[in-house]
Amino acid sequence: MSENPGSAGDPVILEWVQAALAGDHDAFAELVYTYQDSVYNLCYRILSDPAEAEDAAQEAFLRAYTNLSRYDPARSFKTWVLTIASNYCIDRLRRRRMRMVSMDDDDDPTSPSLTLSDDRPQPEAEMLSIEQSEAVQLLLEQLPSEYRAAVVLRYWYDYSYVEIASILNTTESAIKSRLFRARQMLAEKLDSAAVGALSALLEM
Amino acid sequence: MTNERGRRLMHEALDDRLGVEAQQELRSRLETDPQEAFEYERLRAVDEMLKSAPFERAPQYLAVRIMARLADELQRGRLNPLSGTALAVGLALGTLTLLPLLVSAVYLLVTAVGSATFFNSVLQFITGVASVGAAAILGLVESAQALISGSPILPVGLLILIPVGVVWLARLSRQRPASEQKS
Repeated sequence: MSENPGSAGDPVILEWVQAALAGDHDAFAELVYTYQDSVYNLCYRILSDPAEAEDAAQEAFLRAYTNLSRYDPARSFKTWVLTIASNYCIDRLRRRRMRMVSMDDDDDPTSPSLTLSDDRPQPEAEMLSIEQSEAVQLLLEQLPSEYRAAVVLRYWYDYSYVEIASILNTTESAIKSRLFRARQMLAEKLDSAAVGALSALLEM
Repeated sequence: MTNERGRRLMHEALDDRLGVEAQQELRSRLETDPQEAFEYERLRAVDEMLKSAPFERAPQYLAVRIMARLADELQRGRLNPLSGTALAVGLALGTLTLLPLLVSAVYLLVTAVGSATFFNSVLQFITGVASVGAAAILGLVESAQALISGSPILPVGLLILIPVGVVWLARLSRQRPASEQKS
């Protein structure tokens, strides 16, 4: 599931960055093609909405383009662009929460595993993967934005505490504590989801 | 009951950060304490679930849409990597040009009107404005004194109104804005 963080100073990437800085749009397109999946997955896992995630991914790449001259070649380009994307998504999530009318009532997920978004026939493995992805997403939604970002960077990108701290502009101990609390919270949510699924089965 | 040390060991085990001794300590704790063993199993379930969650691929044509948006924004001049630098340089140049001009203008003004008569008139103007203000305040105080001497019940009424006003303000400050309440 997780991707390798990608090494800093990759000559091909640096060449594309230099060319993009010189005004070569094709070189920037190569960077977009290379990192679009990583950026999109991060945005989707933090924002939990495919349309918003796509918009956020676009915004992250536009910001990367605007600030390309500030990119430090000693750092991995992927980490740099993921830093832009995660900060943007956290801000966006905070703004969304300020706007939201209510999030605590009827739509509390009781059983993530019972949720399916699509009725069309699909191959079994693909369907299971979608179910699993949505179940995880429902649980992630219960976490505060900073915790969610730390969990996503740890589990989907395999970043170390230090790297996550650098991306989220905080300390290593703060990341340790966020992951610690996030796991505790997820374990509690998972318990209540399991209880919900069990009672739903008993009522059938 | 799981203590902080036990929890820390569990989380570090999940992140593969435990040394051999710490691993042994955790193992013995889990063997002797069923509560800790239960909690570790819960955390491991979360860990496994997250580790096995799939990686969401970008929608088809996302890169194409990004490049189209980039081209559009560049065309409209809203995105230019150099615009920030250009603005900063422009501001710096503007300040550098304007600063000597401003200093020269102030110097010319002071030397042109730099006489004792000018400063005297300025001081007279300031003291005049201040004395008008003081006279207005004095007038207000005198009319308040006249009002109180005419009706002695008024100060008592005012004194009663003060705590009422304080309570009203306190209640008002406790009411959060509607948007905040909703979130």
